[in-house]
Amino acid sequence: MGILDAINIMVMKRIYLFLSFLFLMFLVSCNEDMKISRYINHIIKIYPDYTDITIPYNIAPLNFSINWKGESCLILDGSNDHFQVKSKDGHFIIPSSKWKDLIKRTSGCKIKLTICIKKGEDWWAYKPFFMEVAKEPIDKYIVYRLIPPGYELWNQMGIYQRNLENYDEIPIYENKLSGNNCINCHSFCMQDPNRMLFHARGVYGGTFLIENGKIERLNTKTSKMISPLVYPSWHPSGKYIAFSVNNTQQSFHINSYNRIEVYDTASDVVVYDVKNHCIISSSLLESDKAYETFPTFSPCGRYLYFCSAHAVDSMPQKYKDVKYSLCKINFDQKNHLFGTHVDTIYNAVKNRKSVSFPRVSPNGKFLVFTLQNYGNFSIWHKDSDLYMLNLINNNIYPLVLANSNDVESYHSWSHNSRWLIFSSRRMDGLYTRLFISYIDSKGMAHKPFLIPQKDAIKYYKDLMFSYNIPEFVTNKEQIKSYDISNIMKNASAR
Amino acid sequence: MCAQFLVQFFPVSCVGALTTSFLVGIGAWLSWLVMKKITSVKYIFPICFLPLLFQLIILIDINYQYQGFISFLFVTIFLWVYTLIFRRNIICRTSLGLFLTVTLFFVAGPVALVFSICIFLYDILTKTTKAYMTFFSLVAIILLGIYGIHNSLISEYRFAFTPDFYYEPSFKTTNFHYFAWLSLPFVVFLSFISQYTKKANNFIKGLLLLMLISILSYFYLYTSQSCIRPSQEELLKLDHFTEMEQWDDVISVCNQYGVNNYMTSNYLNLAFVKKGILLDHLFDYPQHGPKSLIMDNDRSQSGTKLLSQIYFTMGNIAAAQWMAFNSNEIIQKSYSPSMLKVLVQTNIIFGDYAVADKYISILENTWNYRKWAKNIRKYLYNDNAIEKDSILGVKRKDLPRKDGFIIQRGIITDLMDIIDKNPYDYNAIEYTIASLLLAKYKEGIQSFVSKYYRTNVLKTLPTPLKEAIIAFSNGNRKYCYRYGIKDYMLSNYRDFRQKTLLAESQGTSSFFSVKNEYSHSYWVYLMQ
Repeated sequence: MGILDAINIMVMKRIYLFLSFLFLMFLVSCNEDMKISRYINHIIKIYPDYTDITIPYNIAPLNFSINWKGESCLILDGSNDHFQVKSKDGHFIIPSSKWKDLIKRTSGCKIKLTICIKKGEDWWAYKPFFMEVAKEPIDKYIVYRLIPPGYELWNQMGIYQRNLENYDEIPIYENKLSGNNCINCHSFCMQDPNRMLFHARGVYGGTFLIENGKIERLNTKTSKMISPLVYPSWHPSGKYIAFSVNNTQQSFHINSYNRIEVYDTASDVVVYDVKNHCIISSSLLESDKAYETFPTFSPCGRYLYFCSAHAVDSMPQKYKDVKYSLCKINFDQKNHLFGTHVDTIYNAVKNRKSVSFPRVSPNGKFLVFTLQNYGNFSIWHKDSDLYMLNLINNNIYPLVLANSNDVESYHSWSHNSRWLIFSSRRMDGLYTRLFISYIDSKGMAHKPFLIPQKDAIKYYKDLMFSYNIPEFVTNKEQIKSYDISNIMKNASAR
Repeated sequence: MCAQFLVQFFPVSCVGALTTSFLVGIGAWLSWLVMKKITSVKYIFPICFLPLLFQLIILIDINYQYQGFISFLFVTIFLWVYTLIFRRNIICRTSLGLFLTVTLFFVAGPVALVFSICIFLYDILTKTTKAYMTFFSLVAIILLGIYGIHNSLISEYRFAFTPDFYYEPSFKTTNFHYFAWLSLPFVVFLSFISQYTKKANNFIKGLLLLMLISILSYFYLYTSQSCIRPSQEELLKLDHFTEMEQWDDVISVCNQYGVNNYMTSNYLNLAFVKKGILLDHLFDYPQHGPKSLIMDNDRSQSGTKLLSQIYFTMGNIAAAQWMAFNSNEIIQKSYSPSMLKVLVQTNIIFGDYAVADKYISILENTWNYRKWAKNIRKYLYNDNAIEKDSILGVKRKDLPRKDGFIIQRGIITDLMDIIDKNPYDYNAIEYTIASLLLAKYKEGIQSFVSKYYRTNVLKTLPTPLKEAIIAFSNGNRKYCYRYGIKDYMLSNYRDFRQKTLLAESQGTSSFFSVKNEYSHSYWVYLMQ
C-alpha cells in the first residue's frame, strides 16, 4: 500500500467520523432530553462483546451492558430507521419489535450503535460500533444439553431447545424425570427436529430414537462391541446412523491448565441400520491397532468421515501420544458396504496435532473440525481451536476470528451452511458458553457473538451449567418429555 | 426461597434454634386461632404445638430440607387466613379455598394437599353451609399434580403429593413424616371432639389432657427414633464445627460419641492437623490404616465436603477442587457456601481468576459469606498478594512441579510430591508422616527420614516416628542414634518386646495388659 493510499484512508476515516458525529448530532437534536456535549474517540467496553459482529436478521435482541451506573442511552441506526434505548444502570434492553424491524430492514447492511452516557447534565457520546446484518437467516432453534462442568457427579442435567428469535428455553428432556440419570449425545438428521436420538445411561439406559413423534428404545450393547453406541451422526437419508463405540475413561490433572483428561482406551466406528435394526461394520473401522471415533456422514451420504489414532500400549500414561487423524471412507448405502481403503485427509502424526468433531456443511463445501495438541476430548483442552477444511480445494486453515485463547470445541452448521454454532470456554475458562459465527461464501468465519439473553450479564454469571453439544434445528421439537420418560421407564428395549 | 434465605443465617450460634423456635411459636399460635373457631374448650391448647413440633423433630433428619418446615408453617398461615374471611358467601369462600390451595401448591409444594384436607375438614366440622364445596380444593390439588406429571413439571407422583418433595430425592420418607403431615388435620378433628367434653368437670378434663399428652408423647418419642440417629446428630455437629473451624469442638464431639468409623476418624485427625498436634495424638485414638486420615471416595454430600477439606489441608489442591465441585453437584437445587469457598480458593491458587470471580459474586450475595467474599476479591489477578497470604501462598507453593492424575499414584506419593515442592506446609508434613505410619510402610518411612532428617521437613523426629524407626530397625542402636533416638526409648522398646513375648506365652489377658500399658505407642498399632 502506497503512502498516498494510506493518507487517503486516513482522510476518509476522518470524514466518515465527522459525518457520523453530524448524524449523531442530528439524531440527538431530535430528542430534547439529549444534547451531546462531548465525543469520546474510542469504543466503550460492552458485555457481551457484540462489537463488529455479523448477525442474522432473525436473531433476538442482543441486549448488553456497559460499566456505567448512571443514565445512558443507546442509539441504534439502521438503513432506514433508528431508535434509542435508555438505561439507568448501564444495562440496555432493546425492545423486541423495534429490533426486529430494524434488523430485517437492514439485512445485507450494517447497523450503527452509539452509546452515550450522562455526566452531570451533559451527555458524552462514545465512538459508535457496528453490527453487520447478513442476508441469510439462522435456524430458528438450537438444542443443547446443560450439565455441570465436572462431568463426574451431577444431579440435574437436561436437553433443552432455545428459540433464537427470542429468549425462550424449554426442556426436551430433563433427567429429573428418570432418577437423575445421565442423558447425552443428542443428534438430529440434517437439522430436522422430527428425527432425533439421544442416549440415557444408568437405570433407564438405552438409545432413544424419535421419528415423527414415535419414540423407540434401543439396547445397543452387543457382545461383539466394546460398548453401547456413543457418538452419533445421521446419514442424510435418515436410514442409517454412524456411531462410535468407545471405552472412555476420565482423570483429573494435578497441576495443569487443562483440568480434566478424557481419553479412550479402545474405540471403533459402526453404522446402525435404523429400519432393520442391525449393525454394519468394516474391519477398516474396527482395528485393534487404532482408535476410531467421531464419525460424520457427508451431506451426499457417500462418504463417512471419522477420526483415527494409532493405539498406544498403556493408557493413561501415554495419553499425550494419542493423536487423531481425519480420515474418510466410502459408504455404499444400497449394498451396505464400506470402501476398501481409508483416505487420510489430515495426518496427525505428520502435523503433530489431533483432530476432533469433523462436521461437513450441509452444502458439502466445507468441513469444520477442532484441532488440539493431542487426544480427542477437545472440550478440556485449552489449546483446541476450530479449523476449516475447504472440500473443493482441500485447503485447511484456522478460523482465526472465531478462535480464542481458551477452548473452542463442539460445533454444528445451520441448514443453509452460513452459521456455525460452537462451544467455547473463553468467558471464564470453565463454564462452556455458545457462540455463533457467520461463515461467508469463501469459508471465512466472522467475529462470533454470544447467544443473546435478556440480561446476559446476570444470566451468565448465575448459570452454573455448561452448554454442551449445540445443534441447530430448523423448528421446534414437539415431543413431550412425559412420553419420553414413560418409554424410558416402561418400554422394553429392542 | 424463604427457607434458603433463613438458612444462610444459621451458621451463627443459636440463630437457627431461635428462629425455628420462634416460627414454631407462630405456627402453633395460628393453629390455636383456628382451633378456637371450632371449639371453646381451652385445656387442649398444648395440642396446637403438635404439628410444628413434629416438623421440628424431622428437621434433625439430615435428608429433610428446611423448606419442608417452612412450607408447613405456610399451611398454618393459609389455614388461618381461610378461617378469617368470606365465611358466609359460598362462592367467595370456595374461590378463596381454591385460590389459597393453588397458590400454596405453587409456593410451597405438595403440603397444599394437607391444607385442602384441613379446610375440607374445618368446613364439615363447623357445619358450614354447603361445606362439600370445599372438596373442589382437594380435587384441584390432585388435578394440578397430575397436570404437573404429564407436563414433566414434576417428575414423580411422590413428589407431587407426599413429603418426599422435601426430602433427599434418592431416599424415601418414613411413616413418621406422613404422621407429621396428618397431625394438622388430626388437631383440627381433635378440636371438634373436645367440644363434647365441655360439660365435664376439671378433673376429667385434666385427666383427658394428661392421657392425650401421654399417648402423643409416647408415639412422638417412639416414632421419632427413626429420625433422631446419634450418628446423624454427630455428623451434623462435626460438619458445623469443621465449617466454623472450631477444632476443639470437633475433638470434643469425637470424644463424646467415640471414634468408631472412618468419617469420624477423618474429622478428628483433620482437627488435630489444623491444630498442628496430629503426631502428638495420633495413637491416642483408634486408627485403622491411612483411611483413618482420608477415607475412600465418598459420594455423599457430607463425605465429599469433608474430603475436599482434607485434600485442601494436605495441599492436594486439584483433588480439593474436584471434591468441592462434586459436593456442590450432589446438593439439590442449591450450593454449599463452604464448598464455593473452596472453589474460590483453589481457583485463585491455580490462577483461574475469572471463574473464581464468578463464585465470589455468588457468595457476595449471601449474608454470612459476603464479608469473606469481599475480602478475598483482592487476590484476583494479584499474584503478589496471593504469595504473601498465609493460606493461599502456602497452598500455591504446594502445587507439584510435574503434572499427573490425582490419586492415581496413591495418597502417599502425592503427599511426598507436595512436601518435596514446599517443605514449609506443616499440615502436609503431618499428613505425610501420619500416612506413612498408618500404612506401616517400612521402606517409605526409612527413606523418608533418610531424605528429610535435619531438613525443614523433619528437624527432629516426632515420637511415633521414632518408635517406628526403632521397631523397623528392630532396635538397632547404630541406626537409631543416627536420628537422635535416646537410649531410654530403645530400652523401652526392649521392655515392650519382652513383655509381648511373655504375654504371648501366658495368654490373652496378659497380652491385653501389655497393650493397655503401651496403648498410645506405635508399637501396639504395629501389632494390629
